Amino acid sequence: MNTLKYQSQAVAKPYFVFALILFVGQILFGLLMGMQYVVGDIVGGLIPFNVARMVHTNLLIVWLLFGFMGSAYYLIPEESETELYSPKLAMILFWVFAAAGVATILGYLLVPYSTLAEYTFNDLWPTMGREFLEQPTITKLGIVVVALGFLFNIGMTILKGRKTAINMVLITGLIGLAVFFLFSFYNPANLALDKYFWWFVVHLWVEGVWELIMGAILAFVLIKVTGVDREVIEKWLYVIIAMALITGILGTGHHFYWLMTPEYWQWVGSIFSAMEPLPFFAMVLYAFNMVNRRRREHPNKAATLWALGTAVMAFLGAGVWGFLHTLAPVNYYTHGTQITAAHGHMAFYGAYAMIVMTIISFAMPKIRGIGEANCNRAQVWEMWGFWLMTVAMVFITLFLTGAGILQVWLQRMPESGQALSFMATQDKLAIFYWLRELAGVVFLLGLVAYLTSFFITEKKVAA
Amino acid sequence: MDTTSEKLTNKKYFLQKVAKVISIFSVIAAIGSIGYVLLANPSDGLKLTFGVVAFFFSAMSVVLFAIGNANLPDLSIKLKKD
Repeated sequence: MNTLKYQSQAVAKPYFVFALILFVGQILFGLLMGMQYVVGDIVGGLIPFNVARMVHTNLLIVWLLFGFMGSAYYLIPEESETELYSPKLAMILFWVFAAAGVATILGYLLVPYSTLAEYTFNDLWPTMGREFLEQPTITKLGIVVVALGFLFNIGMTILKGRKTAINMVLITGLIGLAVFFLFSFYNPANLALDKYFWWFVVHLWVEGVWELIMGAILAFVLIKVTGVDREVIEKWLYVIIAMALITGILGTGHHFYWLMTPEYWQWVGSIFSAMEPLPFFAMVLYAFNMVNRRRREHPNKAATLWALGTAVMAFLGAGVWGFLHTLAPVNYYTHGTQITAAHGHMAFYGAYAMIVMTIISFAMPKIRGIGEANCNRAQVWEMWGFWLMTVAMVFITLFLTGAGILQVWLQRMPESGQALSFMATQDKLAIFYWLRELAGVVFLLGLVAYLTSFFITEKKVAA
Repeated sequence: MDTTSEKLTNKKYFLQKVAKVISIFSVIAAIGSIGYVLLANPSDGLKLTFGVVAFFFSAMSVVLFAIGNANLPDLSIKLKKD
């Protein structure tokens, strides 16, 4: 049964499937690292902690990028009311990106990082060795090529079709994503300067343009599942993206506190980043308001749950947990502690992992020819996945926050040489790390339940 | 525009009730923090701290109130025995 409005939307499927495969890898490496925190090297030196961490974070970024691309390929033809400009190009770019991603991850795992740098001619244009941007220069160039091809494809689709607020916001976010990635090619020798521009990629992605992508995807799904007028949802979307950009761009200042930058950054960073929860605050009000005003009961209950869940979890993770340690006087003590890890985990899951799963939940039944929604049994499994992963992530965040508070107390607050060293402090945090690992296992169970839902089909009644 | 035969419900779920109760406590905490800053004339550090606390609880109260008051669809699914 064909349930897609535009046949070219089907190119989103491999992107979604591959994103979820990488998501599994990310969680497995997260669990491995969680164990390494408490028992040290448990895999006999095969995968050192720094490599596991690099794979964990890189897989996260890459699976979210696959998710965003899949979302755009699904959403833009429907919004533009026209077929995708070139489904063939979308498929070629999928294989190029997938091959580059897999080769890079294998490179991390199979050879020492310095050897990988040598093999990939990093000396010619050194860009490696920086957190989250560890990819070899050649992979980064590949990402640029894929991004340009992708933007060309969806840009041409929008140009020949209908222009809506949703597809304009989405493409603005995606162009921003590509443009800010270019700062990863600038790698000054001065470490402070390097970090300064490094944040132009990292911060302006996750606290800037990615919020536009999230807002657009959420708006699209809310229109579909609630039946509320497009005009109402678009007005909210404008307000949200305005707040996201106003607060997020100058909010970059909260990364400049301790980078030898002028002192005014402590004021600018504190004030604007204290306002950064506002778009997420608005997003919760907007999501619940739209569901409140719904004009239909959509049969895809799982997608509605994901849409509401992402708004709440993004507000908690990105908004509340970000606010917790963003003011300069607080950040003086908390900078780079487990409180940052707590914020990072819940924010990435709530804002970005969940929005990708929201659109996957909405789009996959149609792409797979099932209809508006999966069968009830599959939705029950999916909702179990939602609750297990979400509750587990809440606990991971709480345990990391507990670890962070204790870390600040033992390592950062004492004066006159009474503070514990970093490693001595880590020993004292072991109980929190064990509990975090336990919550991580529950998260994995949730992910298994979620993935199982894709394999459950309606039982045929025997004739 | 309805696509299913289900009717819109106006039921408040357990977590919504919890959200509403916490929203009321958040309002009280926000008002208390503002009152403390205005009436007790604390030091600059405490003024800043309680100002931040007031901002935090105000935002929380609005969000939780919206969640608590929303007319959510019934997201549960009853499975029939085969």
